[in-house]
Amino acid sequence: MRTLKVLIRKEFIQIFRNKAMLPILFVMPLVQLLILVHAASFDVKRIAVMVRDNDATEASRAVIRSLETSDVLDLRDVVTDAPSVDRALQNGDVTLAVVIPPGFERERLAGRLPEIQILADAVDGLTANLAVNYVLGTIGAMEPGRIEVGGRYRYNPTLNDDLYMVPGILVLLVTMITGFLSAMNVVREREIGTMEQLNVTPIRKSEFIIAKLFPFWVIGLVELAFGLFLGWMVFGLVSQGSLVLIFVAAMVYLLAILGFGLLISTVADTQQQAMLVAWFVMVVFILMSGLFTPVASMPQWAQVITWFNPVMWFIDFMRRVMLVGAGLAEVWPTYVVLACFALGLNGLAVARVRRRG
Amino acid sequence: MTAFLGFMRKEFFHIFRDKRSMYVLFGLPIVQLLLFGFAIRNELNQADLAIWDRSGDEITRELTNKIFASGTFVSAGVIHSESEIDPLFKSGRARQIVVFEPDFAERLAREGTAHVGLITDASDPNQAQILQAAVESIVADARPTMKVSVRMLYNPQLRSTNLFVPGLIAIILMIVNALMTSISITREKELGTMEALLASPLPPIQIIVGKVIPYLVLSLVNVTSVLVVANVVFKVPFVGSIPLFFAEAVLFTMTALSLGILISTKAKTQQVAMFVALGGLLLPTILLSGFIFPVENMARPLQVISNVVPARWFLEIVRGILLKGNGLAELWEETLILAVMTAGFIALSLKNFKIRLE
Repeated sequence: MRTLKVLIRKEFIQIFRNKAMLPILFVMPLVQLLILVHAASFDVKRIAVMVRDNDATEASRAVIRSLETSDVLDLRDVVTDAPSVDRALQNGDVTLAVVIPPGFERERLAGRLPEIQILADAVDGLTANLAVNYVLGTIGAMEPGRIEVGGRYRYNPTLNDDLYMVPGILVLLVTMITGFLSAMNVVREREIGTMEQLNVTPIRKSEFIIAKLFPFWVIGLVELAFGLFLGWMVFGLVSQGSLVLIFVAAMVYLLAILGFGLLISTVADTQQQAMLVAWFVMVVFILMSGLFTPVASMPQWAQVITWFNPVMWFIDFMRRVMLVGAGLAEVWPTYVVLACFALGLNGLAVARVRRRG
Repeated sequence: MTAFLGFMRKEFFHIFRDKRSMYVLFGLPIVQLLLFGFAIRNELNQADLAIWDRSGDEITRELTNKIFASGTFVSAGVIHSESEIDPLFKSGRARQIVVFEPDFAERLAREGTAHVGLITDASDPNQAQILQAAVESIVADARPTMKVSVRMLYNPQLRSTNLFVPGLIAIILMIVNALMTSISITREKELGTMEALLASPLPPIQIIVGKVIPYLVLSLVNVTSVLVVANVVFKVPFVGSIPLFFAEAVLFTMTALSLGILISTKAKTQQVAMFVALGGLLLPTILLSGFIFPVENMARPLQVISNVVPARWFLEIVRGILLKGNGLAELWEETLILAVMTAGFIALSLKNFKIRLE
């Protein structure tokens, strides 16, 4: 026990002796929260539009006026020829062009359905879809709609997507810091040759591992607390659910991530390798976590794969607890799953460490 | 010259002998491509939707049928009271509820308007907006006032793979050229072998060039393999000129290499080099370049910052070449910006490069 205490103290000293470490630990979360939250948005705020008006009547001008009054649509130009429309789309000057054909007003006065054409730059399909819907809604609004649709948004009535991103980013943060650092730290001993020295001391393997990982477990929890504090200070996000619930889950989750880091350190010889392998796995974990794109949009087989991703579980947990206010009754299965990950990953890692020496 | 060639050969050996890293470098982009191609979708399908029909007449039934016939929604059942809404959302069984007001058909006939209410779980606000827009357009279509034909250009099937492949290329070039080089040069410093190299008859500039050329070659081979897989498996088009693409890729590679060298002149340990490259180069490349999230959607200050992220310009170039078939006539501005940036970074890293150890 005394050896363990001394070892842990040594690790802490070693980590914080590195002058670059403190900034990394405390500046990175701030920067990540600020940047990610404001950058990671599918919310279309501005759509550049142009109109090709070949009708030039009161009715076609009414369409143009309705586009002008929209907050989201940015009407750049009204033209009459096809080549300027093509050029603007090709250069990326506008996302979308509305073409009003000749005879638009005549058709409408005759009580028939006049036709409008929308050309959209669909390189980004999601944005194109939203933009088309926006224009349709704007043009449609000039007609006295016979069926009115009114929407209400629950749990996030102002559709503030900052709030939605914060819990997921907190998870990303603690995962990256603890996962990468723990993987590289163990490998470093091997790379610079000090592992052999440790092997000939009376320190037991288990003591060595615990001493290596414990500091990062603590750092991860402090990091999470700091991130929650920033989320409250900067975005005013207060968790709807209990903080105790969150921290207990984080303790288990971090064990799983440390196990993952340890596992990686057993397959790598150099820090560069460890980093590459950790990066590889992390990218897959993050892409399959529902952080940026919803898990529900994935095909069924891919959704099944996400069940084996601890990051997905913890992000889902944090969102439900922090945003919707779920309690133990709703989230207890996540605890079970996270505990299984922690046991499985650490078991695997320890078995490999034993074999490798 | 022979000494330089020999040194470069040694570096090639160093890199390619490390099988594990090779697996990751060549495997990761392909795995990412497969994930983006098959699993990651930002479009919407199969959202669970419940109906609260307080009227139950001909028209509400017609609208209900239209909503489910669209293929976007899956029925999450029918509810009969306000109190049933909350449990449906909390348990995650429904994402949206459509409410038809009482006497719907009658009001529509008598007063000319009738109301449809939408209640949406907005804990994911983007999805919530898309869900509401989807129902709105279905309802609007049921009683049309004009015909609208929509043509989606350059990516008619709205495949997200087409959007992501250019971003993937930028990331590969950044990982290999900036991250790997900065770590590999810092490694020589950390292990103390840099002294041996500097004491050798090779001039320092040749040491650096010899170190980075293998990565340059590696990354271009890597990019080609991704393009081939994207084209063969996912039918991602390549409309524009191939030589132009590779010229631009080499330009961006130079940008990444100079950034990598710049980091290695400052960092003392591999861990620091890794964090700076990861946080300072890779994250902006992923988040601020428009790779996943469009630049126009970002907060204003970030849009300004994104201007100094080289990947942003490279991405516009690659998307232009691959999907729209743009040539230099359309892309000269982006190319010029990238070239100026690269020249600046190279000058900066030359200035910072020390040939003596402290």
